[in-house]
Amino acid sequence: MGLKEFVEKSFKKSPWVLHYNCSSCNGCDIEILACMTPLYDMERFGMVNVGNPKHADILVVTGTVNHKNKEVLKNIYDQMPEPKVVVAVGVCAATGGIFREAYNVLGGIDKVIPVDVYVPGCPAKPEAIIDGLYKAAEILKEKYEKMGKAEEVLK
Amino acid sequence: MIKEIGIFIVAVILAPLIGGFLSGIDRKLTAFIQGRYGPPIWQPFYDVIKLLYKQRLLVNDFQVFSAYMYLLSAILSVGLFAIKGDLLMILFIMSLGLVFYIAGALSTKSPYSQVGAQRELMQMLAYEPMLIFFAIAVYNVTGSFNLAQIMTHGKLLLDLPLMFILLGLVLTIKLKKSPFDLSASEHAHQELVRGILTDYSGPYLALIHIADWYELVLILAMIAILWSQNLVIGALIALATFFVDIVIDNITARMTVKWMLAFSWSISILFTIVNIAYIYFRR
Amino acid sequence: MQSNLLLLSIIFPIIAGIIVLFLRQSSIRKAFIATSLGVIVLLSLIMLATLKVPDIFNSPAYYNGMDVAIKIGDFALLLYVLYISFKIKEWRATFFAVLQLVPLIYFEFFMLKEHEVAMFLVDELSIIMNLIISIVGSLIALYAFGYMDHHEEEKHVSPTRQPRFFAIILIFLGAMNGVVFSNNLMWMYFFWEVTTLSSFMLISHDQTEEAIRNAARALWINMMGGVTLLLGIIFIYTNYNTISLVDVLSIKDTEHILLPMFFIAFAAFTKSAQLPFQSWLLGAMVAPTPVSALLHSSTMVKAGIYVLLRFSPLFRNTLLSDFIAIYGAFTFLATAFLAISQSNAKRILAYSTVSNLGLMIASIGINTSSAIAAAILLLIFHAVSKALLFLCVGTIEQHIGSRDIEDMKGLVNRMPVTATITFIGILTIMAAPFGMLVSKWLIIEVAANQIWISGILAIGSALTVLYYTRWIGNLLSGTYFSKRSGEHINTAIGISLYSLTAIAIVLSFTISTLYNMLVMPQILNMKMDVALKAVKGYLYTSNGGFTIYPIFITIGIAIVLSLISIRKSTRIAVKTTPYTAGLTYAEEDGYDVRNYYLTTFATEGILTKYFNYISVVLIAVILGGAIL
Repeated sequence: MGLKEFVEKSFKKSPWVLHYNCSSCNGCDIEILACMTPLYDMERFGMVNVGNPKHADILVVTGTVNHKNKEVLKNIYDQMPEPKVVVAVGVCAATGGIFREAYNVLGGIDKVIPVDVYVPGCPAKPEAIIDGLYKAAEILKEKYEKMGKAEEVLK
Repeated sequence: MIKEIGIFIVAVILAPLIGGFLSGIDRKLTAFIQGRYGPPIWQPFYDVIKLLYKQRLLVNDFQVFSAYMYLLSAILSVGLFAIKGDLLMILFIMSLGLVFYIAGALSTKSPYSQVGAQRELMQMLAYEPMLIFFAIAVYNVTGSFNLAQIMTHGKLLLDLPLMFILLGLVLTIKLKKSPFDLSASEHAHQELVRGILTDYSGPYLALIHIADWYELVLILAMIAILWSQNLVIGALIALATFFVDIVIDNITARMTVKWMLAFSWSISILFTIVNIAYIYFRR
Repeated sequence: MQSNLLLLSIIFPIIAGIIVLFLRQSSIRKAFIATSLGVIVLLSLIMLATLKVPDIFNSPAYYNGMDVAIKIGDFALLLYVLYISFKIKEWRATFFAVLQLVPLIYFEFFMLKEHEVAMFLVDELSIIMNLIISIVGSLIALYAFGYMDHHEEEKHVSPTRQPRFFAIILIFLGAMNGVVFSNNLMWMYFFWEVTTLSSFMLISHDQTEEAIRNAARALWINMMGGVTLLLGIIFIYTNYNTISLVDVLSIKDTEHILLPMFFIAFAAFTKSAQLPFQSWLLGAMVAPTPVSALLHSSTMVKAGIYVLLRFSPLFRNTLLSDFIAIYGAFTFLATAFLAISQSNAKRILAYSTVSNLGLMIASIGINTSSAIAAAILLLIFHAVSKALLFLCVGTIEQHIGSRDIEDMKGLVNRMPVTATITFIGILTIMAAPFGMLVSKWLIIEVAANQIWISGILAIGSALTVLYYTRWIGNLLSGTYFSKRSGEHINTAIGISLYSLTAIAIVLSFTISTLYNMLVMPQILNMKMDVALKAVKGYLYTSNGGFTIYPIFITIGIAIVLSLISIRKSTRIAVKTTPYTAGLTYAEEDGYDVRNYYLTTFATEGILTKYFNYISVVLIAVILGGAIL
């Protein structure tokens, strides 16, 4: 295994997760926390819950975007270093859910930032969330490969 | 001279591998204690490699310099330890790196980073005197600060039992483990986000992780020379200390800065005096 | 010839100072002062190159004239102090002036049998002191050109009081040379008192109420030191019938020497502002910054250290020496404790000065050859670095109007040059591989078998790192979005800041040459075995060694790597804002966190009180050590 392959493998093996509660009802958040418990233990896949976008690879968002918190979501996304992947957990994050028509709600988070993985459910099950995160880790690896090519172009 | 350079280079290459492996064991063991399956044992290496190849996000230029200074002085102190330099000088070089590490975190304008850095200063205040006390106590037994001469005394542990406990305490504070995980909030605690590390990101965070591995190895090596007659036994003692620290990490809650200072200073002064009295008593 | 050179180095600054008093034209005055400073530096370099030391020098032709002048000067000075103390109603100063006048009259007219003694005693220690006084002193005086103009403009002083200011500075330089060269103890005493008086006049320079009050305190505390110095000299004369330094140093029978040594050490403690006398040095911070840099950190307070070093062979291996070591170590720790609760930069520097002087006194008290070497090295490095830091704080204060380190946040964006120099200055004072830290390393190593002293030093050095590190953090804080501005630096200020920085770094870099050339011969002069050797940046004793070049190389590599990293980043990296929990970052709003000052258990007032009590007890213990 050469260095290049090892680096790519590292991206897949070590996705650090940042969880942002975008005015969610806390249903999905509890399920995300459940992923960290001994029963599900997402650290098996090297996933660590970090509190800081600057250290994160995967942004997990729950809840709908409204006018108040869209800037916060955007700022957090911007402060993550490339490559980065966004996972929308729950139906609110995906489409806006039952709050879709509320006067203050924009809709799903893809109105503000690009989303790579949608995990449906109200709330989403921990199994589904871990599956989504695993997919996100694979996307992370792909994005790294693309980023390498882009950098070569830049040089 | 050439032999010494060889040893220096070998130590500098081996130390992070050992340190990374140990912190992998740390994570696995912590998972075991918490009833989880835990990450693969090589997880720290995956993390660091990934961080090294992430995009660079800079807040200011000084931060970059700080990260490099922290890493390089840790490397230098491990290398000098391997070629048996002066113990006190090694401690001073270590603290040089630390000064930059803290100043780098203070220099960003994030409140989390600044609070973390202030707490790290307090942690440094707690363990720096202990390390110098250790060197002084070693001098009182061996009559030298030179590691080559110190290591001719085979069983220092019998002379310095209390200083050995102090080194274990230093290890806990230095690795920022509970009850002293004040400055960087390890594990899932996130009330300070990531404390002193908040604004170090990507490759620079990786540099700091590697430097931490070096310092872990350095302190374990200091414990190991307490049984320099047979360094394998010394290494086993060091590893045992490390495991005890992990267990303590998992069964204690965090304490306050004030408690840490009061506890570590009173313990270190008391232990040093008792231990040195004990040395003269043994003679 | 050579003794004339020495005489010139004392007389010339004094005469130049008197001439300056009459030069009202600003440009002429500056040109004249600059030339005189040049001559002073040149004189010290010539003496470094030509004098064969250690030796005594004499020029009989001038001896009697000088002696009479100094005798008259003694009385004139004390009467002038009396006059001042009446004027400012500082009765303690009156008391101590009278207390000096009475024994002085008795001693000069009834006891002292006149016989000629050699004029000057010069060894490496005097040369080192002379170099510090001449070079660092001149650079500080040069700095004052720019500083005082700005200062007077700010305070609306008219007509200018600069002639008086520079005259006193020049006279002070001459008097310091007098202290370090004199062989006749009465001359040394006279010059010592001249430095006290010039300190008073410079602290009260601004003539505000606070300045006069603090100057008065400095005056009476130092006059008290003068009393004990005089008493020490009289005791030496009654027991050994000599006032020649050379004869005193060669005394074999040391039975009666300890009591006078205690008195002289007491004088040194007052001059070096050790606990409980530190209050005068803290008060002296109201003076214009060049004064703080020159008198109160790099030269005058070192006179106390010089005197102790000078007499240290006489109390080697005595109880007195051990107690002095403990006292010095205690001062080092106590003032470091006091410094951590401070946010005023000048007070931090003042406490740090007292702290470092305590460290020097501790290592003089340990009194082995390596400890003396450490004290001398510390003396040199401290003079340069601390002067540099004081000057930096002065420059900063004139720009931002504050000397609080909390107000220095992000200074590197507003004053890039000065902030960088301050950063380097702080590094030279606290971090490896610079000279101060190497000396500290040496002191801890030589003190290691005295567990109390070494333990105190260990805690004290950690505290030192604490209060300087957070200052660095404050100075250099900033982001890519901070508002940047260029900085205009006055030529005179620029020259002195750059040269002091260069001297601080180069001296650290050439520490082994410095040691072999000046410090080691001095240890041999003091008739000790040399335990510390130095080769190519590697200082070693039989117990351990410190090598500096690998650390310099490490710093160099770090600079290169980070430059490469930053250059590379400009193409592929993002310059981002600090993490503020997702809120939109606004540079001006600031989320600045104040430093921890540990005020819950390091309150200045209460601690000072207790530390003073302890130090009074310790001084009493030293006295006990002298009598027993």
